[in-house]
Formats: sequence, structure tokens, C-alpha cells
Amino acid sequence: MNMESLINGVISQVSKVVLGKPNEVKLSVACLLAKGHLLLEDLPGMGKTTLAQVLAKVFGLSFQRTQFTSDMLPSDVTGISIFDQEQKAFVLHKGPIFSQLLLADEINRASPKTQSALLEAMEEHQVSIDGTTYELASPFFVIATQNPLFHAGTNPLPESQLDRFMMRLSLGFPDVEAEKQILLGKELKQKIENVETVLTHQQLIDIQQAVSKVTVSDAVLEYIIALCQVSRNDEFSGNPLSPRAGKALLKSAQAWAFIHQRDYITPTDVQAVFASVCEHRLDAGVMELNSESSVASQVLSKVDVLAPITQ
Amino acid sequence: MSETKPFLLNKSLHLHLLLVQLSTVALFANELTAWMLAIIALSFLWQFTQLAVPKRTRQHHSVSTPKLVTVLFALAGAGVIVVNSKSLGLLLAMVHLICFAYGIKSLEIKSRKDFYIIILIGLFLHACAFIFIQSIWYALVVLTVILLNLALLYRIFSVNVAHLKSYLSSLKLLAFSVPFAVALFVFFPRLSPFWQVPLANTAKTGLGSDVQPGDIAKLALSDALAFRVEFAGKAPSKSQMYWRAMTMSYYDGKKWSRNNGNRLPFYLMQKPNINYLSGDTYQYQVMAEASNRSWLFSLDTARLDNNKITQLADFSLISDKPITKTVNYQVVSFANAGKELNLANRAKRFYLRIPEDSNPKLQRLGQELRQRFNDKQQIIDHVLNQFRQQPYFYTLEPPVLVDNSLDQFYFDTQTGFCEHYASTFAFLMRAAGIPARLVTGYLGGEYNQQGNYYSIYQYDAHAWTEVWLEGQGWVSVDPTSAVSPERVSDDMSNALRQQRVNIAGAFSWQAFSTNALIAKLKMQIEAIDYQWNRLVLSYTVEKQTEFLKTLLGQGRLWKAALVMLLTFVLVVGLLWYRDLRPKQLNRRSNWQLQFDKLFIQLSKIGITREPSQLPLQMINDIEKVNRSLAVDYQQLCLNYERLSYSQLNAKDNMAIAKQFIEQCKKFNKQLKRL
Repeated sequence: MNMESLINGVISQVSKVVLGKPNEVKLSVACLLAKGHLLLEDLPGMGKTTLAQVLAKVFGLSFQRTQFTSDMLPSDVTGISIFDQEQKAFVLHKGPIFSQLLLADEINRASPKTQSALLEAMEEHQVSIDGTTYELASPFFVIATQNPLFHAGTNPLPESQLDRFMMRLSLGFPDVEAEKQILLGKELKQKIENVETVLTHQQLIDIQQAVSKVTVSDAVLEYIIALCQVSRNDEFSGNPLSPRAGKALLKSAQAWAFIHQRDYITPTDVQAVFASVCEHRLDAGVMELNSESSVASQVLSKVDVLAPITQ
Repeated sequence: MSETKPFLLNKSLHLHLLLVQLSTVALFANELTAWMLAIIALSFLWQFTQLAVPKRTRQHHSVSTPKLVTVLFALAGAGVIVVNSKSLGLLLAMVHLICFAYGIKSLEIKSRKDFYIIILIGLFLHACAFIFIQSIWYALVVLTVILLNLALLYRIFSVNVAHLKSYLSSLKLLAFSVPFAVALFVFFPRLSPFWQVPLANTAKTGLGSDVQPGDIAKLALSDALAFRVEFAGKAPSKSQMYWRAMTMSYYDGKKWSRNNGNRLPFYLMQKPNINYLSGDTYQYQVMAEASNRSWLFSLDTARLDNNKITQLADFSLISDKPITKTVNYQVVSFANAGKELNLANRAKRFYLRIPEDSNPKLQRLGQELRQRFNDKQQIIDHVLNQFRQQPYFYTLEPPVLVDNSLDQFYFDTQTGFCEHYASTFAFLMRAAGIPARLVTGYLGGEYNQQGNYYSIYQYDAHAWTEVWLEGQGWVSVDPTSAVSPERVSDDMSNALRQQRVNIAGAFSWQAFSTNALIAKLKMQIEAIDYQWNRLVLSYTVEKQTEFLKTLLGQGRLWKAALVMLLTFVLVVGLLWYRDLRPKQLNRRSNWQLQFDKLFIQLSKIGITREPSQLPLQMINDIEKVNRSLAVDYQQLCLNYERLSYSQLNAKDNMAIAKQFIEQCKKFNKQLKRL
């Protein structure tokens, strides 16, 4: 099977469960293909968890779900060594972080200490427990969900940690047609069970390889840099975009182009992923739902696509 | 580049290679023997037919030839060189060898290295071509061939570059090398002994060291330039411009010659005996063309200060080496100088010598004259009067003369060219007891107004006589002037001109040169050639030394080295800077410019682009105007994105850009129709 049909298979499988959100589905797939972690932010009951579960199933990844709570300790995520009476030695009881895809539900409910334990692991792909370093599974994805901050009992993620997520997505309310189907449809659990696993481990790695080889022309690089520069202007109200943000933008644009069966990026790809990749870094806060002129579109409107650097 | 990988040429490149080789070998067409030319031509023909064979429909092919064919060619060429090597001389044999190697090397181009060798030998041959001809026009031809060669090299390296561009880029590279070449030419020390090339023994037209009736008439058909003269100050009238080349004192019954054998006669090696008298003096510079002979030209009576040119006892000038390239020298001539006022008896006897049995009638006539007139001047006048009054004719096409040719001419045919008159006159004078000799040289010259100089051509070749008179020394007498005064006053009479045309054919250069416009053009061209000679070809070691002395003063060697180094640094620096300078970001290529035009058109119908909008994103606006336009627009935008953002190899890039430009033009037309 070639990569194109694999990707199409992945998207169609996910879309069977997550109804009426083709764009968000594609973005989340792109995020995983670009080896990035995904932050889902929305009200409860919008299908965040469903999306994460379906993705895990379709990508054929081992999946662990952890509900973050305010009394959670770092060892609840990473694992803990317990003395075994029979072996007369400490034995590691691995935490949920040792799965290939970790769903960190309501991450902003956990204490900052626990949050940072998880986020360290996300960056370094390894954890240290009792002085021993353990490699995490490969591939390793974190899909975190969080509730909007005005909900009670939440600890907002600091900017430095938001930066670790390649994309932040919001699913939003479904349209009427989709909602009808949701209301009349089968049980969610059954739906997820019906989803087929499309990718083998090797196929996923191959696709990730191919994504990183998508051609990036000078013009596109300049476009990305110009976008970052706009955010660094004094007149701009939000946070400036770091080079890491630029890199995330580039990688997700590569994955976006790949999903659309092109072996080169155009500025359209950059624009398509820009809001998801950059908005949580720009305003470092919560998404203003359904707001007309987002920060991202302000930045986009300030760069001429055809002559980015001369601006 | 690996040796094992076969080197492939496509058809167009192979044809280009053949063209380069053909034109390079053609530069030597005059130097190569007919056999060698035939072999090289056959090898090209073979390759050409190989190219035309239909089995080679593939785009690329490696060049290989059956061993037998290669060996046959090699044997044939080697045979020709071996057989001819003696008569060719070292230089020409070497030229044959390298031209031959160059011509058949392309039979087997197995690797890139073989190809480079052909290019390099080609460049070497282009340099060699200047051994034989150095005129500016030839230089331009050679430059064109060099350009062809460089463009070929360029095309090998960048296969997908347009044909024309390869020439333009090569031209640019050549232009970059010009300042460096000029600096090298002007400042680089000439190490003449190391750089000397063995002489080519090619025969050139020009005066020979002996004259028999008919020789100069043959020369009169040649348009080749003999030398040029630039006067500082006044010039004599054309009829007074007798350019002395040499004198001939031996008459053997058939021909007059300067030397009796191969060596110069001893008496010529003595110091010339000249009484410089007051009167007209002319100062001038002579630029003599290569003749492969050593005599030079001057008006009577020359004085010069030049350690490479000697004045012989007969007042003619001789260079210490054969003239193989243009030579420049300064002369002052004294028109009224007395030439050898005292002649020893032995020398008098020498100048009276005639073979006893030759031309008996003239000998008898001489004796009669000697008895009839007391004064020698009277004898001379009498004979000149005879020429004037009797029906003697001056013609380029004299009848063929056999034994005792002078008798025959004087008494029977009475038609001849200058050498007939001069030979006969000198013989008759000797028979009448007056020491006499034949002088050959040139008469007159063509004035070039643009360059303010005179050109003297081979067809100006002339022969006259000198007689020695007591108290007056050698006196010039031109019997031709008695027969045909216009030959002397006009450089070539119209009648003669017509004769030359008749002989050479109606479509020859001679026929054209009678046309006034063409003659003027010829004059212009020659003026350019003259400057080239004056400034470039005659820039010798001495001139260089002199120039550097005036320019740099003392310690000129290291200063010259410094100037060269500076030029080198300048040129390399410029190139380096050109590469270093950041490429202009908004330098737009052709297809981008086309696209810009399209946007101007679109804005005219009210469709403008937001900064954040990509062209493809404007399709909705266009769809509102015209649906079918939108389809075209989408096609065009997809090409635009591929050109702008994808990685294309040069070939695809060109193809898509071409298609894109077409699409833009078509779209623009449709827009205008709306």
C-alpha cells in the first residue's frame, strides 16, 4: 500500500467517529505525522477524548489514558519503584508515560509539579525514576486535553510548557447534520471498537521520514521567518514567536503538504496550520472561542506571501 | 567523474563538437597539405555519417568507432606526415601532427577526459594559428572559434542551459579575461629566445632576388600588402616615390640577379658611400609586412639608425633576420644625395660585365652608340627617345620571349612590362660602356586619408635602372617613364587596371576595387588594420622596454610585476566580489515578470490581491467574473506554485516556465477581451 492511500485511510477512519470536523482531523493527523504533541482545548463533551482514542487506534499505538487531578503526584505519571518481597529488590512499576500514546486528560487540573514532570518527558523522550534513566517508547505522543481556563480549579500551563505542544486544536460545536448523526448514532465505545488500525509501526516511521523530506523552498522559509518577525515587532501585542515555534510551523506545514499529496510546501500549507501551531504561543492564554479576528490572522494579514522579506 | 562510466554526448553536442573541430582545422587550411586536409575531412565525414545513422535515435550516445577505422585513419595520417616531413620543415610538420591528432581524437571519446583533451588541444591550436597570420580580421575569426569552443565546454557542464545562453556566458567570460590579457601583453616580459618558433618556410609573394622578364608582371596581379609608410612632415609626390628594395648587377644572359650564388656579393657588404647634400629630406616610418625575406624598403638615399638593419653598399636596406612578422623602422631620406661619386676601376668593370654571346644585336647597338656619341648623357637620352618615339607598348601581358630575350623585345615585340624596359636598358647601357645596374622595388603607393599613411602593394612592384656617371655618381633612370609616363605619375593607369581585371576575372577583388564605394570601404578597413599593426603587432621587446621606461622610470621590472599583480588581484577580486555579493532577492525571472503583468491586468478589472493571499486563493474572485477563466487561472496558478516552491531540475523548470509564460500570455489576452 502506498503512503497516499494509507494517509487517506487514516483520515477516513478518524472521520467516521469524529463527525463533521474534517479540518481538525487532518490537523491532528498532521501533528502526529510531524512528530509533535497535541493539545486539545475545548469544553467538556466536545469529543476531545474520542479524538485521542481514535487516533491511537488508527495509528496502531499502545494507548494509556490518565485523568489528571489536582492531587496527582509526578510518580503517578512516570511510575514508581516498589520493594518486592520475593525478589528482595526494588521493582519499577511503570506509569502511563511508558505507552506510545498518552492521553493526558484535563492536564490543567494537575499541580504544576506533575505538569512539568510530564512535559519534561515530552521534550526529552526519557524519564528518570530513582536515579535511573528510562527511554520512552518510540514513537511517543502526548495528546493533552484541557478545559478553558475560566473553569474553576485549573492551573494554567506556563508559556514555556505550552511551547512543547506543536499544535493546539479546538474542535468546536458540530454543525447540524453532524450533530443529528451523533445523537442518533451508536454508542461511542462501540464506534471506537469498529475503527480499524491502518498503520503498522514501520509504516508510521516511514511516513514520518517522508514528511521530513518534503521540499522547502527559500521562498517558504522566508515566509515563515517573516511571520515570526511580525510577531516580534514592538507594535505587536502578543508574545513573540521563538525559532522553535518557527520550526514547529515548518514541520507541520510539511506534514500538511504531505497529506495533500505534494512533495513541496507552499505558503498555503503554512497558512493552513498557522493558527493551530502559533496561536497558543502568541497569546499564551486560552483560545477566544469563535472570535472573528484572531491574533493569528492579524499576523498573517501583515505579511505579503509573494514578497515576504521585503516587507 | 569516474573513468569507468561511459561518457555520453547527445546529438546536438556532438554536432557542436564537430563544428568546433571543423572551424579550428579550417584556420590551418593554408598550412596543411591537401592530403592531411583530406584525411581530417574524411574523419569528420565518418563521424557525421555515424550521427546520421538512424539506429542512434537515443538521445545520448557514447562515441566509439570500430578499431579498424581508427587504426586506418591513424596510419594514413602518420604516413602523410612521414612522407611530407622533409619538405614541410619542423614547424609545419608539428602543426600537421597536432591538427591530425585533434581531427581524429573525436573518433573515440570514451571518458570526460578525452573530451577535455579535445577542448584543450583546440585552444592550443587557436593560439598556434597566430604563427601564420596576425591580421586583426584573422584575430576576430580566431576569437569566434575560441568562443565556439568555450561554449561547447559550457554546454557540457550545464546541459539544460539554452543554446544562446551558453554563448553569452562564454562571451562574458572572455570579456572578463580581456583586462588581464591586455596587462599581460603590455607588461609581461617577453622572453624571446625561449618563445621563438621555428620558421615556417611558406613562400610569400614579393620581389625575388633575381628578375627575368615576366616576374614583376606576375606580381602586378597580387593585391597583397608589401609595406606601409607614414611620413612625418612632407611627403614626395607619388611619381617620386621610388622605393628601393635591391639592385641587381649580375646578368647571365637570361636574368638579372643580385647575387651570383647564395651569398651576398662582397662588394655589397662595404660601407655605402654617400655624399649627403642639402635639399629635400623626408622623414618616415616604414611598416614592412612579413615576407620571409630580409630586404627592406626606402626612398633614395636613406640614412637610418637601427642596429638590426644594415645599409648595403648599393644603398638598399637589409634586415639581419628574414622578416617573419611586421617590422617597423624609421628612415630619413636625402633626395639629392650623391651616391658613390667615386667608383673604383675594378667596380666599373664589374658594372660593365655582360655575357659575350648574349643578345648580340643589343651589343652591336651599344657599340654603335658608343661611337656615335661622345657624351654618356647623350647616349642615355637617345635610348630613352627611342623608347618614346618608336612604337613601344607597356602591357601586363607581354608576349613570351625565348633566347636572347632582350634582343627579341627591343627589336621585335616591343611590348613589355617595366622589367623588360629596365633589363634591356641596363644591358644596352653596359654594352655602350656605361656602368649600369637594375634596381627593383616599388613605385608610388596608395594614400589612406583616415590613417594618413601610404600603402604599397605588390602590384606596385617596379624595376628601373641606375647608371653611374662621372661626377654624378649613380643616377636613377626609369625607362618605363619614357614609354608610359602615366605608369609613373599614376600608381596604376586605368588601362592597366582594366588589364588586371581581365586577367583576374570579372568577379575578382580587382574587379570590385574599381568601384568607388568598395574602394572607400577597403580604405576604411585598411586603416583599422594599419592601427592594429602599429599598436599591437609592432609592440616588440624594444617598444615594451621603451614604454615601460617612460611609464615607470627606474626599476621598471618589479614595477611591471606589481602592475600585473594588481591587475590580477583586481580581476580576481572583482569576480570574487561578484560571487560574494548577496543575490538580489527581488531579481525576478521572466516568468515572474509575466505574472506581474497578469496582476496588473487583473487589477484593471477590479481584482486585487490581499498581502496574505496567494494567487490561487484569488480564484473565487475570478470565478465571479468568468467561470472558464477561473479554470485557466487555476492551471496557471498550480504551475506558479511549482515554479516558486517546489524543487525542480533545470530541465523541468525550463519546461514549466515556458508553459507558464504561454498560459499567462493566453490569460492576459482573454482578460483584455473582457
